[in-house]
Amino acid sequence: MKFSTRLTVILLSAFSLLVVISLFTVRIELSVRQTASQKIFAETLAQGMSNAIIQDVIDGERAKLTTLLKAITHKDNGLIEYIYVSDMDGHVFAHSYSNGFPAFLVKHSPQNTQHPERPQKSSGTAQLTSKFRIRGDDLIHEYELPLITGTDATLYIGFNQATIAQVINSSSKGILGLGLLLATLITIAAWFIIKRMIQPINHFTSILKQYRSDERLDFSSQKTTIPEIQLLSSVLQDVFSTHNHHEITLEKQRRHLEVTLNSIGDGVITTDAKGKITHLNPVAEQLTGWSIAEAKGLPVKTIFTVIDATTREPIPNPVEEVLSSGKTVYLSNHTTLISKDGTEYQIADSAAPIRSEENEINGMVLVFNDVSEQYHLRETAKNMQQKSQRMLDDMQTFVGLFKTDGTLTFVNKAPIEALGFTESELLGKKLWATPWFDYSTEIQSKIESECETAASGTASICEIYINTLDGLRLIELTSRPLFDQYNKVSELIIEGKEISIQHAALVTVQQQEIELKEILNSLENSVITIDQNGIILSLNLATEIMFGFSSEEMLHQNISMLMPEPDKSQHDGYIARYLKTGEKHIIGTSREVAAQRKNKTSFPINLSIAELPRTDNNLRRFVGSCQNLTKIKLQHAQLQQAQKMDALGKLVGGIAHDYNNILGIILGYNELITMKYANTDGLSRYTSNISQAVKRGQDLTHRMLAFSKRESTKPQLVNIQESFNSQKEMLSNSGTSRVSIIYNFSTSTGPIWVDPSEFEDAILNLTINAQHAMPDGGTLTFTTTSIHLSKMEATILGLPENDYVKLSITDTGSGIDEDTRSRIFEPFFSTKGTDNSGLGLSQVYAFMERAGGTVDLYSQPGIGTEFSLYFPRHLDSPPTRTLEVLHTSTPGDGERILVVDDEPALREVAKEILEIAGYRVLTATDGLTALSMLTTESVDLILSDVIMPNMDGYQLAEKIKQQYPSIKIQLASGFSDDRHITHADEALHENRISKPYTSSELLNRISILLEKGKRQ
Amino acid sequence: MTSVFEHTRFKKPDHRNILRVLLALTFSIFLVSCNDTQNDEIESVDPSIRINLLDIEEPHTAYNAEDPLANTLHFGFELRNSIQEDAAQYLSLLTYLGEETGYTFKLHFAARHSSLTEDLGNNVVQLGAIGALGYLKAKSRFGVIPVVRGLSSNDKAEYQSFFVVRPDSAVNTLNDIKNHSLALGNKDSTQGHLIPRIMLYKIGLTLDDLASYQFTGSHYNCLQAVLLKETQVCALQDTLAEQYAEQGLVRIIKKSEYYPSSGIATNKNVPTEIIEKIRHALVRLHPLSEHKDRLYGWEKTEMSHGFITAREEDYTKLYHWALQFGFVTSGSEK
Repeated sequence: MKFSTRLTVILLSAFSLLVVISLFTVRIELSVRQTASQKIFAETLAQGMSNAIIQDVIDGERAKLTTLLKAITHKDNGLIEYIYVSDMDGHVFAHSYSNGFPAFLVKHSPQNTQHPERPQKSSGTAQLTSKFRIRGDDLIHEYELPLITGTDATLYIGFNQATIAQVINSSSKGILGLGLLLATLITIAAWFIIKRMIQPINHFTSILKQYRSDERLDFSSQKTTIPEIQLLSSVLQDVFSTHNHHEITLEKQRRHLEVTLNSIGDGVITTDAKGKITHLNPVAEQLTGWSIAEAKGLPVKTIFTVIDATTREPIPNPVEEVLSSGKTVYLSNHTTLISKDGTEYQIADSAAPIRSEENEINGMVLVFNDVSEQYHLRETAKNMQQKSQRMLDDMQTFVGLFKTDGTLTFVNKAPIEALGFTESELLGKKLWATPWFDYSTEIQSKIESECETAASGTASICEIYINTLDGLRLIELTSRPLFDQYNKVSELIIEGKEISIQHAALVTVQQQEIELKEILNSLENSVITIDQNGIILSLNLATEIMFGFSSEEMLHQNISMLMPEPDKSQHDGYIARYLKTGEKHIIGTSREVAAQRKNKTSFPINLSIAELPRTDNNLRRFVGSCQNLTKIKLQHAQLQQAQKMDALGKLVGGIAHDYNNILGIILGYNELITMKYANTDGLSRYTSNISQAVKRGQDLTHRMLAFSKRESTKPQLVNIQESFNSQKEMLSNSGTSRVSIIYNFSTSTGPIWVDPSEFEDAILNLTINAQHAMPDGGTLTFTTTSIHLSKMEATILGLPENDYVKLSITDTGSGIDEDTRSRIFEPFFSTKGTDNSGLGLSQVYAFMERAGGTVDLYSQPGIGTEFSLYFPRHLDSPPTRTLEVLHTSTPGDGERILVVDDEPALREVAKEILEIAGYRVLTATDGLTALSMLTTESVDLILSDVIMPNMDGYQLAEKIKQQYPSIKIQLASGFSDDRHITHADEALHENRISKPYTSSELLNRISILLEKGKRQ
Repeated sequence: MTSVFEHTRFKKPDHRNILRVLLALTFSIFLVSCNDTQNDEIESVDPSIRINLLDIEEPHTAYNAEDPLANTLHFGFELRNSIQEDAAQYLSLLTYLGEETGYTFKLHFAARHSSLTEDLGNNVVQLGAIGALGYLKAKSRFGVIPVVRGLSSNDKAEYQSFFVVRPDSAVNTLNDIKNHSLALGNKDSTQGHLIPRIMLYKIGLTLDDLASYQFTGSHYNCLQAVLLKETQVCALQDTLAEQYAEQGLVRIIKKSEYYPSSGIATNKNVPTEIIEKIRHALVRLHPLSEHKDRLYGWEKTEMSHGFITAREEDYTKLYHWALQFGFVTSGSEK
């Protein structure tokens, strides 16, 4: 069909279809609009009349409503077929029919009323609820309008659709006819117009029909005034010119591609779909040994023979797989091509299908190149890698390569064998998830953390235990990142070196260091090391205690901080001189030096210094040991004091003994004079004075012997407060009234075990001294307390650790200076010149020592002085001693008494006193003489001196007891010496009489002994 | 290369295309010509068959004296707004009552020539929503029984009447309305008639002291009379007056005391059991919360907040006024 004809037909069809569709649409639109109009009409009617209708219904105005409905129906020219109204119950109340109500409407009347389940119909809204066909053709649409929501009061209107359809049909027919006529006319006109318009195109067609591929088309004959045709002509001319040009260009490109293909450095073989060779490039010719002329048309397998380089087995040619599957095939890395002449080349090749535009396989292209050199290099690298692997496997350390997430990619043999696993069981796992670390989740977390640190670019080292067949082994795990060319972490390398042995050794060394430190700290002496600059390098605990500094305060400070001047300033010079000259003054020896504590007090130390071996960096070091001499010196001082006192005591004791003997002579003869010449006038005054002088002499020797502890003491339980009570008046009278005396006695202190008279003397002496220290008045305080002296406190006082009763005598006098304090307890030392014997405080000192205690002095010049007497607290009940009741001596009855004394005068005095008393007396000069006399002479009693040459009184008494047990023994002595006292002599020692004794004392004692002897 | 024209060569004429076009045309014409009405659901009927409606009227259901509780209870009401609106409101209330009590209720629409008072008294309806004055009249004549009183929007079972004027009116106090025209509501309305009469009486005025007065039939009509300047003063219910006053359309010059509000009453013959059940259900009604969704438009009524129990003595004060003005007479019809 011609284009014009086709176009005409198309136009006609289109127009016709358009008309029909329009008609159809109009018809539907009319129908819809009509329906809507009906609804609107019904609703309008209902809205306008609903109230009236309802009210009529309510009022029961049936007739009135019927009239209204009829009027409405007839007024509408047949459009409204009927109207009727139902009441609230749904019953038909009024309608527009004249002769009864149609039955078909009755059965559509709703029955129920005010049913709560019925949906609430909105009043005033019309709904098309029913359709009826009456009279065969007429269609009725019934609309329902609720009058009261919730009830069945409803207005029903029936619209006759036949009338409406008639109108629509007539309208649509007219439109249809008119439309078809118009469509025909337009189509005919269009045909003419189109025919004329396409005339130039027909001309084009005729020219194109004559086209030959090798001819140029000429549209110049195409004459037209239509610009579009002219343009088309010009464009077609250009198109065909371009086409020819493109053909030429394509041919050039083909040739160029051919040249390019032949210039490729790789061998290229193309085949057809059957695998027969279609092309070889020169490289392929060279490698295969076949020319294109020889190979063309042959199967590619013929010229392309390949084997496996390692196994020498033939490798299947890829052509079949490529042509059948259409996939690109890559041959293995070990492909060897055997050329026509047998030459072998290592090649890398790939075979790919050649596809058409329709994706059909038209052939295969095989590309390959000579990689012999690379192959050899690769093999060499592979061998090196294997060698490295073997080397790593031979290593005993753990070497592993990991991904940055900790996944194991390579591990040497050692750790695998340590576990008894295989490589495949470990590779691919996270390091922390491997069996090496599965013994502890904490360790696993640590390993993971180490990997993360390494993955972040930071190397890390840790010591960790690794699980092996032999148990846990300690390794030093080093994790390091490996960086790529972009400086990003690409891999992790982790090495593990077993350090169990080293660790054990380190632990041992550490333990030794700790032990050494403990030893140093347990030493009582200070141990300090310094460097050549005098800087303290180390010190022990004793150093801190001794000097009062903490280790932090001393470390790295100059040692001179521990020295007083001048050593503090000169010490560095000492070191420098030694370092320079090498001359040792104190190094290698020990000497006493002064040290300084943190509180700036000095104290003596014994310093020993030695040089330590030089360090690796040639640092010279010295070690010093310091022994605190404070206590030792104190003890020495105490010992010296004690020795001095002891020597003085012995001296004084010896003097007292001789002195007593002299006094004994004087007293004895004085008594004899008194007895014999009692009636001589004036004699009694002389003898009385002599007696007083002797008494004073006795007191003096008593004090001297008290100091020297030679005097025999009579200790007993003494209550300090009671003792003070008995001597308060005396104490008050011992000083001036300007001195007030205060007594602070504790009720909790117990008794003490001392000689009460000595105690009183001691108190008196101290009181007198205190009074002298307060010439202008002051306060003297006596205080007692019960205390416990710790070991240290007791040691300082020279006492054992124990409970003590402390008696303090405190004055507010002038105090005692340092020099005086050091000598104050020395016998005969006095600050009051010759007015004082200087024995008072020494007597106190001796008394305290005999009491088992001590006296301590504290004084501040200008403030006052405190003497503290420490008495051991007595808890045991004293041994009961029955005091002998002294009774008046009875005269002798001729009993025989042997007087033994090495002093002739005393011997004569005693003889005369006893003879006057009625005894018969023999005398001997010493013990041996007495024993000799007893062999021939019988005696009843021996009166013997104690201190005698060759044999003292105790030794004589022992002999006599053994040989002559019936003889009574009475010892007399002017010197209380406890030597040679044995248990057996204790009674004799207790009952000895002291020289100088009075005649009555002597006769009384003799009388008692002899009476006892008689009773026995 | 093949000629490009091989792909552009014209094909031979195909008559089938013409045939296709013609068929399409025919089909279209056929469609247009067809009747577009659906044939389904169209019932063919014969309109010539007629019936007499009286023949199909349902007989009136007789009262079941044996089982009073089985009878349907008719509920009457006084028209407030449109009949549709009032009906919708009361129907929802009756639905609630039916569900709560189990009784059957039916809304009764009163004809123009009748009154709720009459219907309630004559047992045309057994229950009725009735104003205070209406109740008093019904009580006086027929002895109806009060059931509940409505709670208004201020939550009180009381209401007021307001005297309103236009905002520009010269009337400022109730004392000023003497010699001015007054519009009232329905003659039987408590708020629209009785209470305004009481207010006037208290200041010594009667309707005759005014220039003129008229009954407009409803509170709304009364208000319209003022707004349209047909009258100068209007006396109407409190809620409507306040609503218009808030809009600035009127000005309130006087508010009354509180008087008992409208409620629901029953015919004296309704069994006590029924009354108590209905009372109980109404007092339990919570229109603002629990039962809000079951009621229609109840917030617009005078009983928007529910009900309280009504007693005769609640209306004592109002009864005396009604008696004084002759709205009611003492004694009741037997």
